[in-house]
Amino acid sequence: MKKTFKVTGMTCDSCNWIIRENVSEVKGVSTVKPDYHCGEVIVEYAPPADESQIKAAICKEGGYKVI
Amino acid sequence: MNPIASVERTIFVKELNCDSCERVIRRITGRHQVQVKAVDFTKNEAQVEGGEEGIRAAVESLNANGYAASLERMPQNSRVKEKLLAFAAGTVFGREGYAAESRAFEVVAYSFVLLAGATMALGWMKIFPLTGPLAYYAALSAFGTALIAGIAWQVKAYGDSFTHMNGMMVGMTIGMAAGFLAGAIVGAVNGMFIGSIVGMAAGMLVGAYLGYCCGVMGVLEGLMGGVMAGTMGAMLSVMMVFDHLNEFLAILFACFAAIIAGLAYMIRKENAGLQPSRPDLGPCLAASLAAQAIVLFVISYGPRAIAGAIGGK
Repeated sequence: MKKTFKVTGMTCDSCNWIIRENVSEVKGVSTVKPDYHCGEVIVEYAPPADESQIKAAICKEGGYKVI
Repeated sequence: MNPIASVERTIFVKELNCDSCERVIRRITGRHQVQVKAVDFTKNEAQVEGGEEGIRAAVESLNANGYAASLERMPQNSRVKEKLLAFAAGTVFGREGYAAESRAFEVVAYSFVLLAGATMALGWMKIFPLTGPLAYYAALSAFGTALIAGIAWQVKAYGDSFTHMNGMMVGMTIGMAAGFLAGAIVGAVNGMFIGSIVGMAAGMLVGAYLGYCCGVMGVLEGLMGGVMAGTMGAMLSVMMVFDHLNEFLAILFACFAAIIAGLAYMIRKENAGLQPSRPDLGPCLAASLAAQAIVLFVISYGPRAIAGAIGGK
C-alpha cells in the first residue's frame, strides 16, 4: 500500500532524515520518501504496519504534525 | 562507556542550524557511543564525549549522512570547496561512504573504454566510414553516452527514493543532456531534421525512463527536457556549422560533463543516509552500446541536409 501523508513542520534535510529514520523503524514499512519542499511523506507499507503507527512515527519527535 | 578511555572533543559541523540538525547529530553520534554535551549553532560546533575511536567513527558517519563534519575547525568560506573536493576524491578514489558514486564513475570509465573500442573496431572493419570529422563525432558520442550511462546507473542505485523535486531535476537534467548531445552530434552531420529527431528521441527516452524515479512528474520533465534539448542541440550545430563548430562541441561536452557531475553530487546529498543498491552493469553497458551504434549508423549512412558541410569542413 502506498500513502502520502501531509506533514507540517518540516523545514530542512535534517527533518527528512529524522522522519525517514523513525518511519523506517515501523515493521512492514518498505520505503519512506519525506519531502520537506512539498511538506509530505510518501510511505509504502504492508501489514503489520498501519496508518496510525506511521502517523505516530512521523510525530514521534520534532513537533511534526500530520494534517 | 569506559570513563578512563572517554575524552571530550569538539566536532565542527557545517550547516548546523536548527533543532532537527541537533537531533540528527545526537542520534548519529549515539550510534558510536559518543554523547553530545552541548551544541552551539552560532559556531557550528558540538561538544562531545566518548572514546577516541568512536568520535572519529561518528565524524565519518556524519559525513556519510551528508553533513560536512570535522574535528578541525573549518573556515566558513571553504564550505563549497571542501564539499566538492571531498565528493571528487570520494568518487574517484572510492572512499568510504561513496560506494554508489565511485561505482558510477567506474561505469563511465568502463562504458567509454567499451564504446571507444567498439567504435574503433567497427571503423577499422569499414562497417562505418569513420574518417575525418566523423571520427571526432564518434568519439564525442562515446564520451557523452558514457556520461549518461554513469549517471543513469547512479539514479538506479538510489531506486525510487527520490522526492518529486529531485526526480524532476533528474528527469529534466538527464533528458536535456542526452537530447542536446545527441542532437548536436547528429545535427552537425545530418542537418536539423534528422538531428532533431534523434536528439528528441534520445532525450525523451532517457529523460522519461530516469525521471520515473519519482513518478509521473519526473517522466513529464524528462519528456519536455528531451524535446527542448533535442531540437536545440541540432539547431545549434546547424547554425554554427561554418563557425568553429567542432571546437564548440568540445566545450559543450565539457560543460555537460560538469553538469552531470553536479547532478551526481545533488543525488548523493539529497539521498544522504540511504543505502544505495548495486544495479547490474550488463543492461547499462548494453544500452550504451545500442545508443552508440544508432548514432554511428545515422551519422554514417543517414540522409544529409547540408551536403559537404559536415562539421564545418
